[in-house]
Amino acid sequence: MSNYRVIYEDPEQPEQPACVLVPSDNWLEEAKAGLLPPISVYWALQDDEQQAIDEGRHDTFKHDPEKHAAQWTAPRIGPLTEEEAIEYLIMKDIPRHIWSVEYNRPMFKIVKTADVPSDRQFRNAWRLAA
Amino acid sequence: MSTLKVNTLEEATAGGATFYTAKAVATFDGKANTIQASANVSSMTDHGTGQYTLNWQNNFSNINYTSTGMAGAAWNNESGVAQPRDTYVPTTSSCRYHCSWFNSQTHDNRVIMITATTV
Repeated sequence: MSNYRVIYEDPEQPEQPACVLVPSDNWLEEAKAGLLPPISVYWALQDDEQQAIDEGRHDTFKHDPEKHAAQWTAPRIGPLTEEEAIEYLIMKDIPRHIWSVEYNRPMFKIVKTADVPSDRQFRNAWRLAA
Repeated sequence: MSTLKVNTLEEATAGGATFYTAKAVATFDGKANTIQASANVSSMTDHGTGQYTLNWQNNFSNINYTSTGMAGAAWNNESGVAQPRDTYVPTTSSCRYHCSWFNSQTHDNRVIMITATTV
């Protein structure tokens, strides 16, 4: 199991509780084995899909076959450490406006798994500490 | 390990049905925030009580894939898994799911099992 979790808040949804990103062990093993494509492959797919959303054709949108296949055909980036893999995962799975824009306080934080509260009684009140 | 690459899997009998295999599966613990088993899932996001997103390792080609899910713990903790599409439209890279009692109140389940597939 990964030693890390990523806690983040979405500045576009300030009323929502903090989110917790949990890496998959299988994915982490592939990252450590050097089996991931460049992150730009995923960004290209995200950009195309976002354009379809903006233009109101998301329901009928289909990825360009060549860009879609690049997930498997693009040259692999080589082995990553667990810390590098978590940084990669942030850029892949957390919405881009959260980590690519500078706000007046941090919107995400990489934490040790053990630091995430186990008591979920007040889960919907969780906020990212400054 | 060897890899079998084919375009279509069909029953051997004449006119046999086409097999559609799962493209992503995940079993995770909504209380402990752990993924117990998964395939083609890079991460899970916990958005709050009973609200989760599965982030696919490899994107689907479109958003019209099918999800099925089950959740539960004790016999008296029966609940459902929903994909609230009107509020959270799936993307080719992720899909959001809610676990709720049958009165629609979301809650955390100890075991949540989700499969996604497409034609």
